[in-house]
Amino acid sequence: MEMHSNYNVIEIFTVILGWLAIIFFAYTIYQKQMVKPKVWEIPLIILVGLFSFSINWRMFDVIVQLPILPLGVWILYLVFKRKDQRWQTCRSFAWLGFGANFIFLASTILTLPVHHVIYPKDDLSVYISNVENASIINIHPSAKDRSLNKDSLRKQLDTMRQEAIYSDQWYKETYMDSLSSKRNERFPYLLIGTSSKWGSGLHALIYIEDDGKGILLSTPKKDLYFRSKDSLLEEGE
Amino acid sequence: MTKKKIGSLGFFIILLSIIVYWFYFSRPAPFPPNQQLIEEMNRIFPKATASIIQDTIPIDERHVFVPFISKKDDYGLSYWVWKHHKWQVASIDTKGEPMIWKLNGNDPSSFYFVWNIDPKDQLSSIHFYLIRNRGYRIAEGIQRYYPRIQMEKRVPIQEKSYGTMQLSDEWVTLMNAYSKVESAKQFPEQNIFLGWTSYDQTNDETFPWSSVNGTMYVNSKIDLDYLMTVGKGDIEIPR
Repeated sequence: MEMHSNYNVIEIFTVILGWLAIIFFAYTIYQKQMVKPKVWEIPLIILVGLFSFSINWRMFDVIVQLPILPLGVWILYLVFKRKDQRWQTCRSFAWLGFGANFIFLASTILTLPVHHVIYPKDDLSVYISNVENASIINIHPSAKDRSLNKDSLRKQLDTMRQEAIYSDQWYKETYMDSLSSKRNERFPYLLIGTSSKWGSGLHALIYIEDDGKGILLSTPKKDLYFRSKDSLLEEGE
Repeated sequence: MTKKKIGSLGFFIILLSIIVYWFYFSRPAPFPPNQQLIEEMNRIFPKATASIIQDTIPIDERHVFVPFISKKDDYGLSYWVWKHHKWQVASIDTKGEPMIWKLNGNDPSSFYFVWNIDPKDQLSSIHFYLIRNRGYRIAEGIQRYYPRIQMEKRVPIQEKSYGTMQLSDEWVTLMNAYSKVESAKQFPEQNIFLGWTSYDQTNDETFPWSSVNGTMYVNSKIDLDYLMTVGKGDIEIPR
């Protein structure tokens, strides 16, 4: 039951481009070969060639895989080493398989800035792009019986100011009176039913502050905090 | 291939699909009568010593929850599933401490609380909780704050010792949104959990000692989880 399926369109697009490039290279190799392998073997050899030992390498805020050891190529070599002729015909494809790792690595690295330009990660409206079906749920007993003011949210999406997060301070303020279990949560509401910008593939938990004027976006990579001028919630009692 | 061969191959394929359909997908037969349930439980798990079936509660077409009382006067739980064209008992617990039965893996809308509390424990209600602890993190200049999530559902248990309850829509929505963000993280962080506290007639926190630490028979195919026991002191109340 995916109501708001949201895929990373740019990523899907570059993966397809990557495969097209691999097919193109395979075709070029095939054309140049004097002794040709069976056509159905080529994708198989490339797929085995893809198999590699790689290290994870942190770049900005994503982890990319840097291929180091061509395990698949070695396996193919062991399989074919008795049959010198066969190894000669399939060697290039095995290495192309290993090279494919770099094609995908390059496309990932190229994608990052593109994705960032189209979907700026500090922009509230990238995460909350459609508020048509939005509502709030109370996630803590200190939440009041209030409802979302959709118009207010829609109007202020572009004007809310990003502010610093004082996570330790917020945490400690809550526990000021440490003896009692009477505690209010600073962000007792969760905004639901919104969708992020089409094709961004982004997901976030969107908490709303108890005064109705703050949004804490919890994305897989970081938190973002925004303040609005007017309350995003209907005034209760 | 001759026509005859093609014909018999076609017949074979049709027969095979009928058998596969019958075995895996056919509509469940009527649920067996109580006496048969008792015999089956005691055959497969003699420790159950089932003697009285309290009720048979269908959760959906293929899952039935059956609370029972044993010869030792324990209040137990049994879980029945329509599988391989048979009603099978997937798990038996000789005691009825609250558990969560996940009918369909990771889909929270298929999660059901189940319980069967011994009347000796004299509970008046169980409070179920969905909790994520408050927290913060400062690393490499990135600040994160995790609001506390604490949602509650109260269930009175005076009339019947047993019951089932599906997770509410809000809980399901929250859990789905939560796991979507969590699964996109490179390193999963502290998680949301389900818990319970029980209260007696005077609304004091109490623990149902006669209803816990049962012996359990588990068929590996069932997804059953224990719940955290949450103390009253761990529950926040608004200021």
